[in-house]
Formats: sequence, structure tokens, C-alpha cells
Amino acid sequence: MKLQKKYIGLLFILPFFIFYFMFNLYPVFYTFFLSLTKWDGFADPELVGFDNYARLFTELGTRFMGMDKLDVPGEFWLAFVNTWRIWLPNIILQLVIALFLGVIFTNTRLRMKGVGFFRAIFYFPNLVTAASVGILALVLLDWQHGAINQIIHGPASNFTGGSYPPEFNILMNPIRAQFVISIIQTWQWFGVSMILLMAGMQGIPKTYYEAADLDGASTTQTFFKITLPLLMPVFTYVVVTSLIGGMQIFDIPYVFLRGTMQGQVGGATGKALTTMVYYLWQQAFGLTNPNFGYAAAVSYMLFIIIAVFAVIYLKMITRVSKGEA
Amino acid sequence: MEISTARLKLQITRGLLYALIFVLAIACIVPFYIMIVNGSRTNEQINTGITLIPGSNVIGNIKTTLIITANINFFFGYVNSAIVAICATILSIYIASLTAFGFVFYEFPLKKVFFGFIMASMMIPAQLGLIGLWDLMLKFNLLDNLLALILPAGAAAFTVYFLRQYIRSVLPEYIIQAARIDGAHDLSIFHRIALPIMSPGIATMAIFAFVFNWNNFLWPLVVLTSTDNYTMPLMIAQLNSSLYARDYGAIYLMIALSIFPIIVMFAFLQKFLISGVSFGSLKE
Repeated sequence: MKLQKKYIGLLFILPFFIFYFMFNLYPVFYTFFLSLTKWDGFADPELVGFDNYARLFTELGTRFMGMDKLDVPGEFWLAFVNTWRIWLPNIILQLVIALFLGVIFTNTRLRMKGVGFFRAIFYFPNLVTAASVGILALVLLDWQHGAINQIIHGPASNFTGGSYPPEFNILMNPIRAQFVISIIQTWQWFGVSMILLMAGMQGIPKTYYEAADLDGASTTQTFFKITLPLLMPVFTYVVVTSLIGGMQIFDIPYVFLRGTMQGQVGGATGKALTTMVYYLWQQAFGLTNPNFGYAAAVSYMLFIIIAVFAVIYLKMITRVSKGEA
Repeated sequence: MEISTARLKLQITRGLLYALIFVLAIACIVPFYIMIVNGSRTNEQINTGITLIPGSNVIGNIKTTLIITANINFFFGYVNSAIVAICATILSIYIASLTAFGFVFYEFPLKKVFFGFIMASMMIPAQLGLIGLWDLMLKFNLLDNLLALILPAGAAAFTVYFLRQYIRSVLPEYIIQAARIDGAHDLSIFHRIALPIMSPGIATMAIFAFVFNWNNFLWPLVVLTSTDNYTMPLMIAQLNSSLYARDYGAIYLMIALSIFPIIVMFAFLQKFLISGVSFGSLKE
């Protein structure tokens, strides 16, 4: 009876761990094994040691600048830079908006109404299927028929030949195309960040604010000396989860890259939107000669990159908060 | 006098802030509103510029949708997505509830190690095992099968974590002990006592699981090859090829159709969703 009792708990968690080991842990380890092989998906994987990882670091791409041929970092590192160019503006904008809204909504002097209503509205874009958001953005940004050009420039019939000139095609410019995705990401996520930061702000004891008020502290001082330092655990949670998600961005770049709508996205823009996970997907599933081993190495490299930046961020945060104390 | 100027200042600040918040709220809604308006207009009307008044061509656009998507069976997307999202949700929630219950009310060998696995897997990026999981499905002969999308949902670590916290806050141990003294079997205590008490927490996690599985993109893209098995997000991503005549009214309408279930969920269940989101930050 006693022996049996000891194992009942195990029986409760058993189903989860069967699924977990089979569909989670095993694939993670097997991916590592594959990263040490050359495998086209059909024949047997062929062990090649750390060649795939070496390729990540040594492979160079070529770009032409006028007549000069330039050696540039390989495709993976270009994808790395692209991913950061998309993520970084997004997280900065997102935090600024979310913190600002959080402060307004929790401020006891302002006593804003309709907080619940606005919170729901701001959260809504986050629920919508990213693929649908991507297609919707493409249609709205459509060079000739999209609503955005119609809002900015008026109807196309105002222009010679009844169509907009080529420079109105926002997505033809690689930097602007990256920024468009940053904005979409901000739009989808600032509501979530706001809800999280607000919950954190509400957890800060009111007495701190009352004391600051008595000492005649300004709103700005109160924010930087009380709210922000005490919000750090939640702030860190928001930044780190956004980093993990942002480094893996795939859906919207994929939809944009497959966008052949009137050559809306192409050439230089296509290269600028290749993110790390898009590159990973492409190596395994988007090429006529796929290399699953190399794609697996890209997976692990991406994991290492996320871990390294999360650690750098955490180190920075602890240093800053120690410096202040 | 002094007081009234301060009051006026506060009123002005408040007014400006409301204006700003209102602009942000408009920015969140307008893209969807334009989508609905243009989804009810003809191609020619869309080319003449934007408007906030819906058109009258919904039926026409539905007909066009049916014609241009005849070869990809656009509406199969609903069926496939519903099958995947519902089955994955039930599987993940039931297993996670069992697991959370086991962790809260039982002592067993290596309990800390098992819980460590759950914590660790919440921090691992989802794509890390992608290639390995694809290979596993290849070996199981489950590629291009909806089961390949459903089965991995059985290991939802965050749901276990959430429900464990939830059980601790709503289900006191003495209730379980009382049931045991009455001679109830462990599994029937779980089904008859724990599950009903846990149901609000379960509902929250179920909604998130449904939305996550409905919206999931990369894994279905990798697994599914025939368009008849495509889930809704894959169907909608297909729209963006030069294959189909550029009928913008129909395209807007299809985008609207693809997110319709999400809009309905949001309308009825947003309270659960928002309380679920803020749970994330209150972990520590």
C-alpha cells in the first residue's frame, strides 16, 4: 500500500513526460546530432563533425558595390543583422509606449477612465494570426491599390497615367521594409507589454508614491527613482521574452518574402527581410538541395545567440541597478 | 484661485492624454475596419480611394472568393484549423491538469528534477528542436498529417506551470484529504473535485492554447504539404502569390474570414485573456 502510494504522483505526471520526452526533449537532442551531419532528408546522415558550425563562421558572401567586389559576412550573419534591425526598433518603441501608457493608467492623480476598455483594444492586435496580419499589411501597403498610399497621396487617378510613381512603393526600400515589420511588431505587442508593466506598477506600494509626493518630487523624478527601479523584474521579463520571440521572427517576413504582388517585395528587400529563422527554414525546406544538418546547426547557433544576449542584458541590468543603489 | 489653475492644468493634461490614447486605439482598430469595408466593395471602388462606409458587394466578393480559391479549397482551412486547435487544446489542457495536480498533491521520487525539466523547457526557443521533430514525424510517417500538429501539444510546459500555481491558490489540501477519507479514488478525486474547482484557470489556458494552435505557422508550414490539409494561416499565406487574379475585394474578405473566429473569441472571452497575460509578470 505504502509503496503504491509513493508512485501515484508519478502516474499523474507520466503522460506529460511521455509527450515531453518524445516531442520535445528527444527532437532537441536529435537536432544537435543532425547538426554534426550532412543530410539531405533522404539518404542516411553523414557525420561531418563541426563542419556546419565552421561554415557559419567562415562562409563569406559577395556583394557588388559599383565595380568593386566586396567580401561580406555570410548569409547567416546578414540574417542576424536583419533580425536585429527588425527587433531593436520594435522593442524600444514598444517599451516607450507601454511604459507611458502604464504610468498614465496607474497614476492616482490623473484617475483616467476607461482603462479596461483601452487595455482590451490595445491587446487585440496580438491575438490576430500573424500570417493574416502580414497579408493585410501587404494589401494595405500595395503600391497601386493599397489604402496607405491612398491616404498619404490621394487617389491614384490624380497622377499621370492614373497610377502612382515607383518611388511611392514603400516596400522597395530594404531599410523601410524592415522598419515596416518593426512597426507591425510594435503594433502587435505594445498592448501585451502594457498589461504586464501595468500589473507590475500596480504591485508597487502606494506609500512610496505618497512619500515622494510629500517630498515634492516631480512626476519624472518619481518615474525614474521609484517606478522604473521597482519595475525591473517585470521589465526584464518583458525584454527577455520579447528577445526570445523577436530573434525567432518568421511569419510576417515569410509572408512578405513570398509576396510577389506586382514585384512589391523583391531583390534587395528580399535579402533585407531574411531573418534567422527564415534562413533556417530555407536551408531545410526552401531549397532544391536542402541541407538539414546545416539547418540544425543554424538552430543551435540561434539558441546560443539568444542565450548570450539574454545573459548580456541581465548583466547590464544588475550593474545598472547596483550603480544606482 | 491657486487650486482652480492647478485643476485646469490637470484637466488639460487629461484631455491631451485622452486624445493620444484615442489615436492609439484608432491605430489598433483601423486596419481591421478598412479590411471589413474593402471586403464589401468591388475592385473598382477600392481603386478609387478609401472610405469608412461599407460597400454592398459582399455577396459578389464571396462568389469571387469561391471561384479563385476553387483549386485550394480555402474553406477546408476552417475545418483543418478547427480540428487541430480543438484537439490540441483538449490534449494539452487535460494532460497539463493531471500533471499540475500530481505536482501539487503528491510526493514522489525525483519530483524536483521533473519540475526542473518543465522550467527549463519554458526557456528553450521553440525552433530549437524543429529539424529533429520533423525527422521524428518523417519516421512516424505523420508528415502531411494533422496528427503531427496535434501530438506535440501534449507537452505544454507553461500550462502546467500556470495550473500548478492556480491549484495552489484555489484548492486547499484539506478538501483532497476529506475526499480521501471518504474513500474516493485518486483519479476520481481529480475528475470530480479538482477539475471543477480548477475550471476558471483551465478556461484561461484553454483559450490561449486555442489561439496559439489556430495561429501557429512555422510548424504547420513545415509539416503539411497538400493544400487540402492546410490550416487557415497557411491558406491565407497562399493568397499572396501571383496565381490569383488581383481581386482586392475578395482578398480583403478572405483575410477577414481568416481572423473571424479570433474576433469572436476576443469579443466574448477578453477578460480571461487579459487576466492570463498579466499572470506572466507575477510569476516571481
